[in-house]
Amino acid sequence: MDVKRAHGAIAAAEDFEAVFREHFAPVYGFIAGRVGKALAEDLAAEVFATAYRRRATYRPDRGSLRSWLYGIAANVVRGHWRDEQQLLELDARIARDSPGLAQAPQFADAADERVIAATLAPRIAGALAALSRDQREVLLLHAWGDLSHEEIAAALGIAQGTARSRLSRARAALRALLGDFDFDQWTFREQDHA
Amino acid sequence: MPDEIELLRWFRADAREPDDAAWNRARTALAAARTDARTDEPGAHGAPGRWHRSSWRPPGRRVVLSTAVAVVAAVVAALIVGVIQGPPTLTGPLITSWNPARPLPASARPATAHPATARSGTWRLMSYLVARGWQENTAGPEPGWLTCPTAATCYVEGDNSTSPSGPADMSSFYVSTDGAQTWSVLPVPGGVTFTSALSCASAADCAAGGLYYGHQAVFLTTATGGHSWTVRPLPAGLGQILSLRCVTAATCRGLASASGKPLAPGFEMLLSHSRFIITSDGGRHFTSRSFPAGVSVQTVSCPTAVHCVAVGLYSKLGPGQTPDLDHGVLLTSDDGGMSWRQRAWPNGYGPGVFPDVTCVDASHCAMIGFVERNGTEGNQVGYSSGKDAVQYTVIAFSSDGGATWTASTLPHTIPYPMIDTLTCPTTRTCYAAGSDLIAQRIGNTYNAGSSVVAITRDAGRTWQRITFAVPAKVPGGMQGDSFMDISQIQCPQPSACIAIGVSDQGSTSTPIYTNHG
Repeated sequence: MDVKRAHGAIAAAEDFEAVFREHFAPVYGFIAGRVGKALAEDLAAEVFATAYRRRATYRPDRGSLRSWLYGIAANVVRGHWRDEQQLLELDARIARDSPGLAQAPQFADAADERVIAATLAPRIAGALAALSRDQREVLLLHAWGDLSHEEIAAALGIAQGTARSRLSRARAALRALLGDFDFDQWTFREQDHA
Repeated sequence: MPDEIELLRWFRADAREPDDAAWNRARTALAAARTDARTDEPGAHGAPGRWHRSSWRPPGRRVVLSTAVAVVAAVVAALIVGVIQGPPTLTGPLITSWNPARPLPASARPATAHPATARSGTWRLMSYLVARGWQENTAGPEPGWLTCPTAATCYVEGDNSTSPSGPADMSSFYVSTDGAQTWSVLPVPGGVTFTSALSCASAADCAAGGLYYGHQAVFLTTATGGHSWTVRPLPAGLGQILSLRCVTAATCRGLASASGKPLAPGFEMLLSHSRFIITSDGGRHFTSRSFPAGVSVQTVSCPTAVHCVAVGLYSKLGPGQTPDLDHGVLLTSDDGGMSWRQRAWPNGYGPGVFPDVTCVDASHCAMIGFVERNGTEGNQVGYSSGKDAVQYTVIAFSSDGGATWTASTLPHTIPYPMIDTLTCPTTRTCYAAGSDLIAQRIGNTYNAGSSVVAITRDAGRTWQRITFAVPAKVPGGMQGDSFMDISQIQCPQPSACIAIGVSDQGSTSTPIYTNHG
């Protein structure tokens, strides 16, 4: 946690180097997850170049540094909603072999992982694609950026109550869209009958 | 128990780790931003600004010693200016000396290997905006705002090279005096970023809104086609200028945000509670008028000194509400913007995210209308809603000064058009430019849309589609997306238009199209 910078603006270039080292990977991850790696390289670079140039405008009293950076990232990604939508719709159609599943420890068997990934990723992509842009934005800021309601509100320039209700509705919508997903078994119930 | 958030954290987890290339790309962009910050330092606190020509040399020609001195000076300047004094502020006009234009390198222009010619009409790809300096910053200028006061003279306010898609760093300036065939770059006063498109009363007399060091709203004028500038601070309480239209070198009308604070692009800009502004003395004094309460005007057109038409959004939002893009606000004025009369909003379309109204004379106007249907959730700040959402634009025409409107739907040959920009050189001839949903492919780049310019010569009764061939592969320094949308079009004459493509991230150049010359 950037305790030092939580209490003051980013005054010097050295401070910003620390900001960059601490926050680049998660911000990049947020962007790459949304628009893909090819585009994320440029967009993430742009976010930090923009943040550097505007560092004097950062106001700690209006939100954390993290929320400020994610706000810039959200703005940048917003200009690429067609890319994001296209990628989600593509993923929704294509079964993917995702090595990321290895991060889910409950799947010990690699073959199982691939099977689950092949069915799960397209369903999640389809569900995300069906969400409204606002809902998707708050959901991914929360899930991938680990932003709280307050931080989401600061990042997007909306009221905290709005952020809270929007996130709540987004989670409910995602659950509804996933329908028969069994969160205990980490699989879709229909597979049991296949 | 695991929940949907945990599920999301798993989704695409493998794609979210930056590799070395991503780190290096970001470090390069940061280094460029730091270099820009250093070269932007002079000219603060109202002192007459002079650009140091050395800052415009290609970086490769700089000597190590001068770089070291610049670094030390920048650190000291940053400590003094950034920490002790805060960002520089203008207290009076900043007048810059005359600067020569720096021609862009000839090698940057398109090679014959990828000529682009239109499939119909006589349009052709003229040139690319390329600057050697930008290329060395690994990213090029965005197209930004195109302004062509004559068929020969065009200007582009472009984005900062290290912020290729950020709309808030418009700090580069290009000029062409040969009908967009070749381009030169002109320096922008230190610390200035543009906040509005340039408006020109003649080929050389132009004005624009700007921000000084990102925090102070200013009014920029040039009488030399951008070779020298006068930068004046706006009066206290007036926010940044959002749009401008100058009928003479001294008289300009436009929109400014109501508050003095800088606006972030997107939602904040959309609900900026704008005010109508007028200057009759080249920006020394401004008169401003509020619009009706609860209205945020996004675009205004004043074809005469007294008649104006404005389009906006309702800005009074309840908790959790987003702007209603399906029902806009239509205003007209017959006293030069001093008072406004609200008109009934036409049925069937809304103002959308990029409202645009343009009037040729006191009677004839056109505007872009936005239609969204069958979305699972509508009105979400104009972005794609549900997967079933259908979004497209229409062009509406008025022949009674903006009181009533008739929508013209573009033909099926332009499926789901998203028109970004509209210009009408005569009462019956209009050019609408943007993209449609005809999928395109350039090399390995796919896009859901294609560049399109639609032309009507009978006030919207019929339309002709102009399509643009894309190169077989993406030219060096560009990205395929640059060829798949038109961001700006200007028609200083009914048969002389210049259009500019979009510039996606990482592009160092942007296609320019013209139908004349």
